[in-house]
Amino acid sequence: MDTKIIGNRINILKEKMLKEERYVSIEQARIITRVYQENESLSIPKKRALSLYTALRELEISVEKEELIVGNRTKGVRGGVVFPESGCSWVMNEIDDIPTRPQDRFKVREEDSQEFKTQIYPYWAHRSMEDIIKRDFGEEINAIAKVVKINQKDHAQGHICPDCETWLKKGPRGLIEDIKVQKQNATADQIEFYECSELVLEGVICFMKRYHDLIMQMEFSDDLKNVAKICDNLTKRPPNTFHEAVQSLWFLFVVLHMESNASSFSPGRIDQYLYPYYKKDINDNKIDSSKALEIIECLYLKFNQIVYLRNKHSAQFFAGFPIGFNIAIGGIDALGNNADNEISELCLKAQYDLGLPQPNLSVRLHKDTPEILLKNAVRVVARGSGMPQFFNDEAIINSLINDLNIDPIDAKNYAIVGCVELTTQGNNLGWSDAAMFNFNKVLELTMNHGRCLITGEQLATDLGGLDTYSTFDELEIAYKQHIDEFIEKMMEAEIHIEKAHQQCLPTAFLSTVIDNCIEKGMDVTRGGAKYNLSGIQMIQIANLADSLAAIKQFVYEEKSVDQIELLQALKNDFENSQVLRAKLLNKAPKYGNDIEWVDQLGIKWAEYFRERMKDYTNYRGGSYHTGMYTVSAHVPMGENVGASPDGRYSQTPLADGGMSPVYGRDKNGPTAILKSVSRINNSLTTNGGLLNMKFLPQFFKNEVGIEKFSSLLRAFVQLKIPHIQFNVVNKEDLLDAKCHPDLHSSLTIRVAGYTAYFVELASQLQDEIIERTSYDDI
Amino acid sequence: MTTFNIFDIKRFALHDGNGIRTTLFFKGCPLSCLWCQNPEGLDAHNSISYSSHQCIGCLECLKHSHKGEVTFENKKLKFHFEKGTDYQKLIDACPTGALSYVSQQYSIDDIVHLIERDKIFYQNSGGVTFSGGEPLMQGEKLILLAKALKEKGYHLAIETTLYAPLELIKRIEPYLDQIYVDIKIYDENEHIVNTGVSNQLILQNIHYLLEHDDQNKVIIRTPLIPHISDSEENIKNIGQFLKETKPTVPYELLNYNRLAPSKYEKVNKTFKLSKDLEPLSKERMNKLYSLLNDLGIKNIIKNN
Repeated sequence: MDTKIIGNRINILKEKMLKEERYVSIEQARIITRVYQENESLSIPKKRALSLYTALRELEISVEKEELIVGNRTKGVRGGVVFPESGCSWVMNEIDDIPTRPQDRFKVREEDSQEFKTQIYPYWAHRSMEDIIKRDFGEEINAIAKVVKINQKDHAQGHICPDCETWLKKGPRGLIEDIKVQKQNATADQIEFYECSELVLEGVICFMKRYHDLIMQMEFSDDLKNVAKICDNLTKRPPNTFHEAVQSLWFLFVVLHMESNASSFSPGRIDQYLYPYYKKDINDNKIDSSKALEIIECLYLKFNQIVYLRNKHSAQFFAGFPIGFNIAIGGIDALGNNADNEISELCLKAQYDLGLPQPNLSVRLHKDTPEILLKNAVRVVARGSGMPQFFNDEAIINSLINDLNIDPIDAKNYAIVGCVELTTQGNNLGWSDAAMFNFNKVLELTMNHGRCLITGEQLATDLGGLDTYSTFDELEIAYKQHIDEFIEKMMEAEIHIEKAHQQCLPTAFLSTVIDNCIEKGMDVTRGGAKYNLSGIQMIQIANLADSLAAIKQFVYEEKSVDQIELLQALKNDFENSQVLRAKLLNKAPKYGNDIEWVDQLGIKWAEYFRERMKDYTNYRGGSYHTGMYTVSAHVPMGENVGASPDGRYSQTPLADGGMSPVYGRDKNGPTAILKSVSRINNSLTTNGGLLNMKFLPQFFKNEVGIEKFSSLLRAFVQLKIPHIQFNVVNKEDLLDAKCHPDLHSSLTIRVAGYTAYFVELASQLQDEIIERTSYDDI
Repeated sequence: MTTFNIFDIKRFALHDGNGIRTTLFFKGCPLSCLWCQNPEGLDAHNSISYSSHQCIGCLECLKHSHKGEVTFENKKLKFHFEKGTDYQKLIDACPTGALSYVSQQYSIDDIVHLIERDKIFYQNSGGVTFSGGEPLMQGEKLILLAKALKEKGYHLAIETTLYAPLELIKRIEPYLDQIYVDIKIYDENEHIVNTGVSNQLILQNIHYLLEHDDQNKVIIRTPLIPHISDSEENIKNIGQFLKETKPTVPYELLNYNRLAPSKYEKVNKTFKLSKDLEPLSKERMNKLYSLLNDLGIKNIIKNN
């Protein structure tokens, strides 16, 4: 097929999508509210299932005439769906500001706003999950909020990788058959679950059929007629062709979003389970690789059409509407052999062509990753979208087996949900975004008698302060006690959150595509999945190590900084203490520079925290484990923390990433960062770790650069670091570096026989480099 | 104990040889090229680096300037080296790191240990590069270091002027895997005017190495300095020399970059060329390439 024709179709669709305004949509909220009002006597699972069934039959749908893959949960694209069952008090409070808020804006139609305020909200006030959590445990959650951010308070968990393979193999009809078999010997509880699941699957069949019917009413081309046929086929049987399989896959994800309105339902290892369909079509001469690419690109466009409406606060933590359609390509198979195939390459190519924020493309690397896949992946990185990110089989698989007791076959088949959260595929409610635990706020409370440095509020027990601890050990003993104190409170909150999800947000449809829910006759929120984990994020060991290193070296070893003076300086946000701050910033060793004792100062607390997780079991009976990533949460989490001994000003961001050093403090370059990060035991990041590194685009300019980056990634694999992501520095970063040199002091310019830091260059020269730094150069 | 005066150890060096490398910058150079991009490496002895833009004017250093080694004038430190040369206490007192020594002393063990840190990254022929300054100015010591590193199996490269005794070059050559050497200016007088030394020794040494370079270790480079080394005539002469000696030798033209001037002030030196010199345009670069091509120099490395 002519690539120009592909280009045209994709370009037209891409342009249409990006041109369309984002609106808040209340259509599904209206349907859900009506169903609840008309069926007050039904149980919540039944009401939920009936609401979804009704929405599948009634929601307005649309098709673009160029589309090869159809389906969405709103008529318009990128709609911000209001979802009352999980929470709409925040919508009530914020709806007027959504069009103008700083992050992730949507337009709101006046009539929708009115209807929401007068018809929808009044029913849900006090009924939604958000309200129930607030009523039952709101005060306790608020009391620890500066230290622990408890997530999933007003929306469903999501962050799950459905069993796409089984979905494709059976289709909704096959699943209904399975349910019918199981139902024969079921208990009353199970019967309700099965009835709900059957109902929603019937709804899905109807939803597919509606797309067929809609197309048949349009003026259709042969291509579009074929799409209609595919939709109709899927109502009757599982997919047979590659095109059918991709369409079926997309329907699955649309409906999962309609049911839960949650982020990060991820397709996982698409190159593995789609390959048999591709191979068969290739053998039968039904398709060629460029047609397959076109279909994949159509799917990629679809991934960008579902976005997620978060509240204002949450939008700051997870900025840019991330919905987390994470695709994992490459990696090893069940036998441990290299598993990449043509689909892996096509997935990279589609990313190279489109450069859109979704899918979140991940490449699984291992010791035998073919050079060609690695280099092609680096070429996509060079495009500057920050994708693909890389995951390391050599680091991850063993830790899933050894630290989480995951079956080896499931561990080898791991995928990623959302950003970097690790999961097994199709059998795990990982609850990976349970909470974020701010190590640095705890250190602040330890230094300041349990009081907040910003407000003076007593947030924890007074165990002493920087002014009273006579040794570093004493400080660490108090720190440990404070960590324990907050872990205890966090776990109580977690139980309440999960309980509320079970009560308010059972998910009958999701449960049909998660093993072993159908066998157990149990909803996934109740523990129907094979694996039931909960992941807590530890924020951030980089700042923690830097602060502790400064305290240890200056206060307790050299005694060159007075402990009372340091505490006072922190209280005053370094006002009139610029010399002290400069010393803390520049003369204390920092995490990420391959200095073992400094790195360990942070890591040992992560290890302690991880160990403590073993003392708890989550509400579904599964284990807690840990991750080290923030997405964009280092900004709002930093706002909670006063000035710190690493020289950081009060309320400024913490290190980004999760395993990364504080940006600008990594003076020894990328190899030193990797060495430092490799000291983090992989048991600490079974829920996901995030290492971010920034480079100037000149690094990727030619084949020699691509080759050297491939070498860097080979070393990354050998160092058993779980994750790495390369951000190509852009113009804005450099402009910022010019204005705030202290924040970017590690940015290096590298040429033969020479090295210099960007911030040290003459202003005129900086301008010149800024001028040159655009992707056109690459 | 054998020690080396080293002014920078650059990890993740990507442009100083194959693969990923660690580059050691040795202090001291027999040449004094007007365009030198590492002016802090010119003097063999240790010296002070002062970065005025990092200085916050806290004057902590003055508290330790008992002999009057520094004064603060016009919002900057002024150095009085005649009053004392031991600046360690002043440097320790500086909270910003604006004040520091240019170089540090390293023993062979220190260096081997530092190189070892990035061992895992040196696959695909990455390794260690000696640069400077002029590493060969370290003389016999450098052979010891090269030997110690080679024993550990590292790939070794050098960036050198070859302004050194041939005997030394012959003896260190077996330990080296890549030799980057500049022919900056072909005309002897121009070479003297712009670099401070004659190029005869350099050309003789290059000639010797190329004649004996059966492993293709040598890569010739010419830094293109506007109005000094970028003339067609200069490139033609160099090309002719290479053609007569070894036409297959890899040859790289390094386009001018404007990075050098930023460093001069820090080490109390003056950049003598105009700060407004521009890199050569693509057209001019291409012209030089085709000129070399016409001469029969086929193995041109184009990284710019």
